[in-house]
Amino acid sequence: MSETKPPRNTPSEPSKGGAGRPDAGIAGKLPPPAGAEFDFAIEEITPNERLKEGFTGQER
Amino acid sequence: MRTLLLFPPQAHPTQPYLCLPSLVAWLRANGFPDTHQRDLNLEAHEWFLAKGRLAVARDRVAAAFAAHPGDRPLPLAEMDRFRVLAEAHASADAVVEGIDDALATLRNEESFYDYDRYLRAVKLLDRAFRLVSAEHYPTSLTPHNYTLSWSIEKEAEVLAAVFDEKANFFCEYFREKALPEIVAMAPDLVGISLTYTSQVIPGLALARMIKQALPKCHVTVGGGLLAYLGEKATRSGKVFAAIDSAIVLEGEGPLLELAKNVAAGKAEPADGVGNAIWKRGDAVVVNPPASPLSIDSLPTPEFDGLPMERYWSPRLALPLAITRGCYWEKCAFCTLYKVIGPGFRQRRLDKVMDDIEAVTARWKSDVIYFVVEDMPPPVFKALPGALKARGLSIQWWTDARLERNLFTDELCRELHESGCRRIAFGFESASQRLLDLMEKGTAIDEAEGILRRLAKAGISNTLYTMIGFPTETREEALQTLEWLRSHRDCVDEVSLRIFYVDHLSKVYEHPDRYGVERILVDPEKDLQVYYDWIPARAGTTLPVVTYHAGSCEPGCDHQTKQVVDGGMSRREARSLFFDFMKVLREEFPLFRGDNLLLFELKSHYFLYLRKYGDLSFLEGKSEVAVAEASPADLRGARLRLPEGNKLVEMPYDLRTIALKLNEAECAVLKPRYQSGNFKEKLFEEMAGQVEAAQPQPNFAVYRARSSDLLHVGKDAARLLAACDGGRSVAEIVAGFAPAQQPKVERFLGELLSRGLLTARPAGAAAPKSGAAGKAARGGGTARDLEVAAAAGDDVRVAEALHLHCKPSAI
Repeated sequence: MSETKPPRNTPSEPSKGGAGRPDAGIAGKLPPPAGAEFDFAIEEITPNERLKEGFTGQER
Repeated sequence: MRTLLLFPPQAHPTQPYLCLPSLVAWLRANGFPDTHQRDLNLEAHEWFLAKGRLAVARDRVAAAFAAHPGDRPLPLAEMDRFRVLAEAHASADAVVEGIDDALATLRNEESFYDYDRYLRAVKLLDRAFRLVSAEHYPTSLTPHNYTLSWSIEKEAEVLAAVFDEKANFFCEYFREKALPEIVAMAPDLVGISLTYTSQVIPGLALARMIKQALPKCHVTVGGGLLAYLGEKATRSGKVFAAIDSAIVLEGEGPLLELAKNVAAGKAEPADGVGNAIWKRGDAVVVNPPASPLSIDSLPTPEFDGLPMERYWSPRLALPLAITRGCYWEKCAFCTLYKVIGPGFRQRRLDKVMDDIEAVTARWKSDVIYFVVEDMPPPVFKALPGALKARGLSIQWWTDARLERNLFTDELCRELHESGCRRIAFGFESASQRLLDLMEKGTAIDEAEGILRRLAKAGISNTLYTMIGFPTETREEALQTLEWLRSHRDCVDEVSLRIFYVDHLSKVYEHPDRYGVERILVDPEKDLQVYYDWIPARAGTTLPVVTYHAGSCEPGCDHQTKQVVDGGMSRREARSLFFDFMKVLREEFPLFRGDNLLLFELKSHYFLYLRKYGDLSFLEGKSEVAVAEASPADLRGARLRLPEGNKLVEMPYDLRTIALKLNEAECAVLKPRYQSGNFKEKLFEEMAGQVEAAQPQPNFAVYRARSSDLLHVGKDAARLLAACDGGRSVAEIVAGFAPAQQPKVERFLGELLSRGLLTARPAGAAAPKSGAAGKAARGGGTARDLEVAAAAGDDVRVAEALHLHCKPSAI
């Protein structure tokens, strides 16, 4: 069923942060200053659900 | 007199199914030329996967995602919805933009066999199914199933679902497209084929709509599934709110009688029609069985009227039946020979040759799938000569038993010359004790020789294997796994399942003979056809019939005895299933990563076998390519996100939620296809056992090239947002402290190699509008920090295909 509630965050609402400031250029998105560790993590999110169902595929 | 036969959603739309073409040809040949057929399954998929309709789904999902609360703990019962919405939202733009190309890729001979393009297309389609599902949550459509919150094991819920046009979203397509066209055709008789459980609710809903729109039209349902469900589903008579009659078992004879009665204007057309169940007043009438037909009397199936050019394959795999039923008819776990029967019958080979000649010429395809339960040895021996004598050049696959003394080197060679490229065998287990208990009638010490001789001839094999047959011990199951592992050089494909007691099987009817103390029948589930059970106690003695692999003389005393020595519970078997899959992934290339997508689509898999001869095309391949080489002048490159990639801020950590859901689903014994309302039951069972997910704003990137979702750290997200195609790497790096610059530059290179950035010039300048630009400038929503890309190529993604074992297509 499709969602009927209005969006909580409409496009006109301000950012909750995390993405930089207006016209701050790249400085606004700069990582922490020297000395701090960057959070450069890249990690797969989704485990392979195909393996859960009890079958690996019997399309006969 | 006009008859219309319909194949309702949901089934996989890769190839035409055999049920309707068989019936259509029969009716046309027997005095009802005005008989038509439509594959509403394919048409419904086309409706919901049309670019415009997907754009509607995208917008609705975006609104739902934005409205989702993000500032309170999320309990298990709400995690799945959040995850479905979040992933669909992240992928939606790529899906909408890529859907046409993905479908074209599957239908085109050249692009289909480009394995990387093929996988990307299938992965994008999977994401498209998820987007459609997200719009209609908790209803779920996958390439292999369709489930609603309603249980398919309870009549009351099935009937409620038939009237619930919102949850059963195929009704949108019925109302807006199919029904008006059907009404315009003004049929006198409509037949709806129900082959898979996933068709029951859509099929009955369609029947109800047609009955309502065309009160004078007789609406009947039939198909293989009704052999299981027919009696149960009609017992109360309530289903007749949606249909006029149901036909169980073989349909040709009864449907013809029904058509005659309708044409004659009889007030009760189903009266006297064999195999029919119908309602007279308040009484349900179960007619006597119809006499089985000689299948030599059946005409060649006629596919005219089906959208043959639109199936999701570059070449049609045409289904033809050589036999009906099973010549062995003894396996304790099986029901197929009962639901397709009655009785085993074999079509004359000259008729089969006529069929092949007709359909291959008409549809310009040389690919045949012989739809049988198990091809009889005499047919294996005679088929090559018959094809040769008629000058027929085809490539084919089928199902068979591991018959002793059949697959000689000479026959294997002849079979290959005749076009045989794959045989799927009921292997079941490497334990001879279990094979005997199952009454399989095969010998494990014969299997290796058969597979090696076939492999030598160039014929691929598939082994249907099961875990958890009653009395099977963990050691025996591991023995089967070890057998598969040690024979990986001659085993191509393993199709693994966990055993369940199937309604109508011998285990169901005589549990005491197979080590089952009691079958657990849930009185609330009046449509239940799969059962759990309580194992017999250790020490129980079982009578066992040993067939000596068919080498016995008449009168041989097959009787022996087995004493039960423990045996796994269903839960233990399910747990072991994951160990099996781990080993299979390690040992068999077909199970690795994205290759599983090919494995899951059997006709596609066959087309690849036919093209490449073996599985060598999988060597070294397990994922779609995502990497982009760093340009020679990385510092001067202007990086941006590839087309379709999207950076989204998430209020909860999807990694945590995925793990929690995975944990919960793994603990549930019954696969979704067996119950329908899997998720709700899951949440009930696990309530209190899984902690709520705490709010944790973080970033995820949808990677369009591989259609997957990655978590990225906050600094990685900021860098991605900064790569708008307008700044060079040198300019971006210059914004950092000198000591940090080398690390940042290296990381940008890594983002290229991970497919998260591209250095290819965009067709247009860096995006100046859109959520990404706005977000980068601070004007967009944090939740929707989309980084729209400019140009590029490529596609998409996925995971979860919720699979289920389906009865054969006839």
